Amino acid sequence: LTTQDSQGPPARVGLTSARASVRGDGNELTVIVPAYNEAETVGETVRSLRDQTCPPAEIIVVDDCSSDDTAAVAEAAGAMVLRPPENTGSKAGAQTFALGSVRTELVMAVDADTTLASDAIELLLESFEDPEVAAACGSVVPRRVRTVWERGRYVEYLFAFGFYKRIQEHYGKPLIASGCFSAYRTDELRAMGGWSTRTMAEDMDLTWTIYARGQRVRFIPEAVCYPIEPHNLDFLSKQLRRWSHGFVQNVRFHWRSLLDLGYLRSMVTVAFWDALCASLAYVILLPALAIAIDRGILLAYLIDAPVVTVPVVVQASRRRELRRALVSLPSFFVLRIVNSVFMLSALWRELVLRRSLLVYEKGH
Amino acid sequence: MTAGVPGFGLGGVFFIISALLAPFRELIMTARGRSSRARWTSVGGQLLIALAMISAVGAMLGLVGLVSAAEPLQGLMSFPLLPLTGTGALLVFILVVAKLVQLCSFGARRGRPANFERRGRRINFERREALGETEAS
Repeated sequence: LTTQDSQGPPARVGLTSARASVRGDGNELTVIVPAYNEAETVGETVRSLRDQTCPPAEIIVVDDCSSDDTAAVAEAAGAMVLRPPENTGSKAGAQTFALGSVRTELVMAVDADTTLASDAIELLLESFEDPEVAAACGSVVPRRVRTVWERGRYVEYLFAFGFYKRIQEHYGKPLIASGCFSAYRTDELRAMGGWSTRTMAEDMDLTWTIYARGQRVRFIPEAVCYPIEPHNLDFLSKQLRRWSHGFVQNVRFHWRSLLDLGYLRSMVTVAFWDALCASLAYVILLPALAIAIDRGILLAYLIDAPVVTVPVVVQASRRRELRRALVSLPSFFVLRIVNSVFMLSALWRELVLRRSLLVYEKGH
Repeated sequence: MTAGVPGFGLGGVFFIISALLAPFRELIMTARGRSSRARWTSVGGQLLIALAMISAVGAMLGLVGLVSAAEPLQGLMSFPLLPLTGTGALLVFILVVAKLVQLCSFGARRGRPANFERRGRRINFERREALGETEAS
């Protein structure tokens, strides 16, 4: 087991005198895998990183004081393991702990329950040929699609990565470089202080900070990762609590800098509107109208089904998963009601009660 | 929808409009020599999806009209102009409000770009200089 040197980070090698473009070369990349009690999955994650067409120079697993065999499994799979003196309290904290040990020009964060398609890193690194690009992310597809929650998330991702995110990329403003699989310029990341723990959505925070600094983020749809999504309501609740609070916290924190970023400002404005109004409609308005006027009003929950189906079918066809997508489609309508409950709760607590969520609860 | 953010409301309309406008933006990019075949392919794909989504809405509304109207043909031809116009107007209103807030903020700074903008421009300039691109341009 290796522990980070408390004297500070080792000397940085491989950096050119000035920030320069990076050709798609794994020798310039270190992957950080934060892990807390991930013995079941971290081995597969490290192996998928080593089996890349463009393998990284180094794989660092941060064993965040796990009580299981995470460190041993990761080391056996071929990763370098770092262990902080005490639990860092969040994924962002664990990742930033390892940042000091990175000696390459690029650094990537990959979740310990996430595997990558064999060419994912190679495809992602090509983005950094543009010197203005500070971060790049890829598509996300749930690895397991069995329960109603996994199926709902699967449909959400097919929609988001097949339609929304491609348009965001066209306009040069992907909303989030997903925390489970994104690459960054190491010097830029260090200049921003690493992954911040000031919000519950460190990936959104980092992405918006990069834009605020006048730099670019790329979305490469062909670079695919496969995380394990929450399979039950308990895990899902923890994840949605983090995401919803993280979204509100980031809007509160970044709104001034967002104002000057035209397309991003518009995206966040309408997303915030939807977060509030769609949630109110799903959780309060429609049930109230159904009770007061006519039960047929409940059909409004499905009113956008044809619109949702189109991009989902297109993306599923690209992946040759049409049957799975169609079977999963009803689960999406269940999941978004749950999303609404958590979003309303987050808006109420963060903006009205001013009780910010500060404790990171690990889900998936 | 963005994962975790419920609903296909104004966000959906916003992205459909974005997809419809993307070819015009790409024309400008092409004129500036910053486009590519891959970009046009992507724009075309998203445009087709947006058009299919609009068609799906039209088909659904037609079906609802067909079921609810006394005269099937009348129902099929009826077009809910008011709700659609209202949705579009609401989207425009919200985006305009956001823009006005930005302009007020910009005015408060007396037209000076924010610190982060200046810093970002300097970093990008340094990178391009390191690559010799500034001399070429």
